[in-house]
Amino acid sequence: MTDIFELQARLAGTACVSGIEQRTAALIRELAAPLADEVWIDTPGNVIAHVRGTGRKILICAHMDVVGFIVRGVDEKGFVWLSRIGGVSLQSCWNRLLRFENGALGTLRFVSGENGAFAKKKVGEITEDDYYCDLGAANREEALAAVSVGEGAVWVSDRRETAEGVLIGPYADDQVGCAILLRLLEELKESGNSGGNDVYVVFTVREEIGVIGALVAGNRLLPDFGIAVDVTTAWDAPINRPKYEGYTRLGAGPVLTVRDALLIADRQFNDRLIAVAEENGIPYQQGFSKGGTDASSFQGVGRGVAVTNVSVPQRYIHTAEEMIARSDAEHVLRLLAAFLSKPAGGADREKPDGSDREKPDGADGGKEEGDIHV
Amino acid sequence: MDVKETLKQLTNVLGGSGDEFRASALFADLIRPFADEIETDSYANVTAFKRCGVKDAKLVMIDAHIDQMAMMASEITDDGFVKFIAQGFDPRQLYGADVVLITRLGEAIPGIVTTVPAELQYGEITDTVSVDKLSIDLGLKAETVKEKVTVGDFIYYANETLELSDGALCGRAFDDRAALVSILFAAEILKDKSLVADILYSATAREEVGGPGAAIVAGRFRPDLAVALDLTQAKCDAYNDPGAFELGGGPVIGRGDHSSPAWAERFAEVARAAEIPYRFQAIPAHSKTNAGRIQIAGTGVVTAVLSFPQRYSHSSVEIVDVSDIERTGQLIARFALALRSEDFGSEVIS
Amino acid sequence: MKEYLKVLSSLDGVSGREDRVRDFIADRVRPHATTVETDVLKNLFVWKKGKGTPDRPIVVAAAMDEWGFVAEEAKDSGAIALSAVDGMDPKAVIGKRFRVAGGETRGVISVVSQHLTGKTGTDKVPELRELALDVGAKNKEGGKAAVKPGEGIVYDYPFAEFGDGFYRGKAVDARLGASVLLRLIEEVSPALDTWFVFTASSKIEHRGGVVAARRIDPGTVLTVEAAAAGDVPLQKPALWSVRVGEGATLGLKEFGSVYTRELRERLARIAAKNGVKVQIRSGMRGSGDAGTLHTRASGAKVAGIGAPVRYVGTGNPIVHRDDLEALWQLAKLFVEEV
Repeated sequence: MTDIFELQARLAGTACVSGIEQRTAALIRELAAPLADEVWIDTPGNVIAHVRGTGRKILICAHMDVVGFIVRGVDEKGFVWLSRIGGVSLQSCWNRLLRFENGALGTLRFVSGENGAFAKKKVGEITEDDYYCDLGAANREEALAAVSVGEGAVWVSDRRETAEGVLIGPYADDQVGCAILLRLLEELKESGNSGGNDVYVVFTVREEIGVIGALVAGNRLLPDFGIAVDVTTAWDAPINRPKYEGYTRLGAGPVLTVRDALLIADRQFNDRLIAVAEENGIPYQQGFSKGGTDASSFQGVGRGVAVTNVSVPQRYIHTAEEMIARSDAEHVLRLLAAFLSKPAGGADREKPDGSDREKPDGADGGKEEGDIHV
Repeated sequence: MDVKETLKQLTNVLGGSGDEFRASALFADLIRPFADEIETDSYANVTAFKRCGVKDAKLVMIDAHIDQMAMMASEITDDGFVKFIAQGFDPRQLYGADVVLITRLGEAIPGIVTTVPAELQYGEITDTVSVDKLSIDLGLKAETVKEKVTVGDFIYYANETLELSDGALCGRAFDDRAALVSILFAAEILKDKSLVADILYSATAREEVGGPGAAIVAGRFRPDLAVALDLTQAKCDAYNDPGAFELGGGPVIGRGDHSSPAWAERFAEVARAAEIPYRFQAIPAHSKTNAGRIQIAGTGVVTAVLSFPQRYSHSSVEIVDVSDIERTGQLIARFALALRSEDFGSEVIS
Repeated sequence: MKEYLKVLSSLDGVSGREDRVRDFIADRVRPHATTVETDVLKNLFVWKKGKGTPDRPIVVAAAMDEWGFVAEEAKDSGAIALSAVDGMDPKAVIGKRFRVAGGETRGVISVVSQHLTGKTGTDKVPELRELALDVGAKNKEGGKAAVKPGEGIVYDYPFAEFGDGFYRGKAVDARLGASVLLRLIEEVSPALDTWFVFTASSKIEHRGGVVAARRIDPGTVLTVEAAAAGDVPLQKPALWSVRVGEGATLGLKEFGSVYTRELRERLARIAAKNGVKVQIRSGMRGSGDAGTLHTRASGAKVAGIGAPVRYVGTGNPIVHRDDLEALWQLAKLFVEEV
């Protein structure tokens, strides 16, 4: 079976920003076609791979878009002015090489400003007029021959795997998720066992600018369960302000989100994933995040969807050198495969009165849940 | 209906965003005498209908959110203290707070948020201590804590509802359980009355985290009008903004993007006729209530926002006036009784 | 010790207004004491004849006053302006419940959250003098009707058992020493004549102590009080001072005074001989009555003992029953053997 990081490297060549995912979508469709019962691209551009089953409907997604820039204008001298797409870390941008959709290259620089005004600015004060991209063009015409307004740009950076199995390189958010899902499709095809579940593997668009693709997919498919496979911040590096020390770490296993900025994960669902992880000897962590993922889009659709995130812990999200561990990515894959290998039935979800929870030995069971007086 | 008793009942039960089921079960019981088709869905939203019996009747949704603010256990230290996250909380309210943690098995364990005695403090005494430095002391041995407490356990302010002076009540979760009391008050009045529209009473979940609960209910039932009830800021010694309202001045009718001016005027007309004092509130942008999510559910819903003031939102010592709860309930009931089928329709909705 | 702590901590008496506490203790001790007297500052002096007479008077002292406020005038908003007892931490009163001393009228102190109003920041709390008590009133008349100026305002958190062997509740810190003294008077026959002094206004520059010292002119002073423990993750271990579970505390010093080493060592020996757990209390930047009592008259030997209490100065200080028991044992041994 294809190596996850190899798949990720293939996808890197097509990486582009939210709204311009077409090349990645085309590649993924091609790779997924032999692996699922049907594969199609919907109106907004999501790639949907369906592995048919008669049981519960499960939607597993990863997003195809990465953060970056688009061209908003080209000035008389041939310098290209950009807008950010997604939460690009500006501190990691300076002097970077950018690659435009059609292959042009340029260097991203900042505007010094009067009396070095730029140097005094706080990161939050930096605006679009403070940086630009230099293609080395002589003038506007030359520049426009190489790029067009509205064209996307992503950073160019080496990708390297260290001897310890750590990958350093761009676009791990969320191309590692896409790679994991392609591998998952391979495994489902190979084993022929998806637990009878009706599985939709969705490669979404426009996550970085507001989880838009996922919302549309969720509304169309109305799943019972939703899992977003993304990355989440690993807090164990000095770059992070000490306040979050002790939460998620690189190499300690897939992260099941308890709560992020937009979502409270379904507890029973998380418990089931934890049980699957423990049965199969897969390490896991539980995390709290200040970011958001596709999962939050599914919450308000239909009759309500049980959602959670299963994420790869990553250092330096939204920078040109993101860092993830091979073991974490492989464990995410194993966890998803193990979960899907059995029917995702479980307790009746219509009446969440807590009666399916364990009662301690000796409890008379007569205690009413509402009777907690404090 | 004894408003004070009902509020005490509804605030004694704990139901934070994502953990509402206990509170939902109680609300379902409380609305049972006044409505039919009572259902609690998988997100813990409670819906109850009062059907008018007329075919193709319009549907009016009257909504308040059932969830309260809650913290979550994030880590257990080696010494048995519990670290926690508190999204949306003011950290100043948490220092030394009296809390209760609910374990997976449903046990309620009292706790105290740590503080440092003044004599052992270094630095400015008025500097707020941030949440990541705080932890919760359960008074138990470390092994016991590790056995009973799990990451993700919900933690609430511990504070029973008290009576203060001058008709004021003080406690936690008044946002938005006090509004649910208004809904129950209205439902009781409307119990045997005949109306021209169907009423959907809803207690929706997860408003404090973006409102998917209300989106699900509105998307499912597609009401013709949705009235979202919530609490707004009251004047008090610590806050004297011109946009704040006096306690005891009656319901506050919203006007703005989420609160249709035409329906706002209808509420005002009904209030004047029933001699219920009221005031208006401008809602220039997002109302921070369920109205926002309901308005874009399905193919879109006409919404109105009705509220009454409270002091110290999102603390354990929220203060409301009993008369405001009652008057808001009366306004809802009178409004429902005064509905005419010609109120609905594209000429009226603006 | 639980019953003593419970009954005394449930009485209301902020600094300068300890009348209820003093009167209650006076009634309780009368059958057991030789003399019971009070003075202008409301200190309570209980003298018990011992088997022998010391060269110079022996004083065992504890304070009676608790943390809290004194109500001032009602403001236009209906809230009651407050005057705080010295040394209160403004952070600790935000979002907490209070009660008018001796009654059932309740109020709260709170701030309004920034994210709702977009105005005040959350990185600082108001100064003590800016805080007011919200009793639910909407205007000055409502406020006046609820609370009279001059009334004491105490934390409204009743005594309760907590966790695994702790006691919690308002004034568990402030009345700890007094509860030990009360039991000493009721149950112990002292070796030598002993003064048991319940001081007033200890939190206001120890005014009660100053006057008491001059009245008795002690030669030996033992103070019994809560020892503030900072042993929580919020505080660096080096700054914890004392630890819950490590037994009764022996003070080293306070601000402005160093305790008598010989007396402290004697107490440590007595404790060791009788299997009573003790720990040294190192970090005391504040001051206790001991300092005043031994410096304000002719000078005396002084020691301070206590039990570790977390969350001193808040509405829910906690003490462990084992530490409280150790303190009782140590105090008893001192009075019986000195």
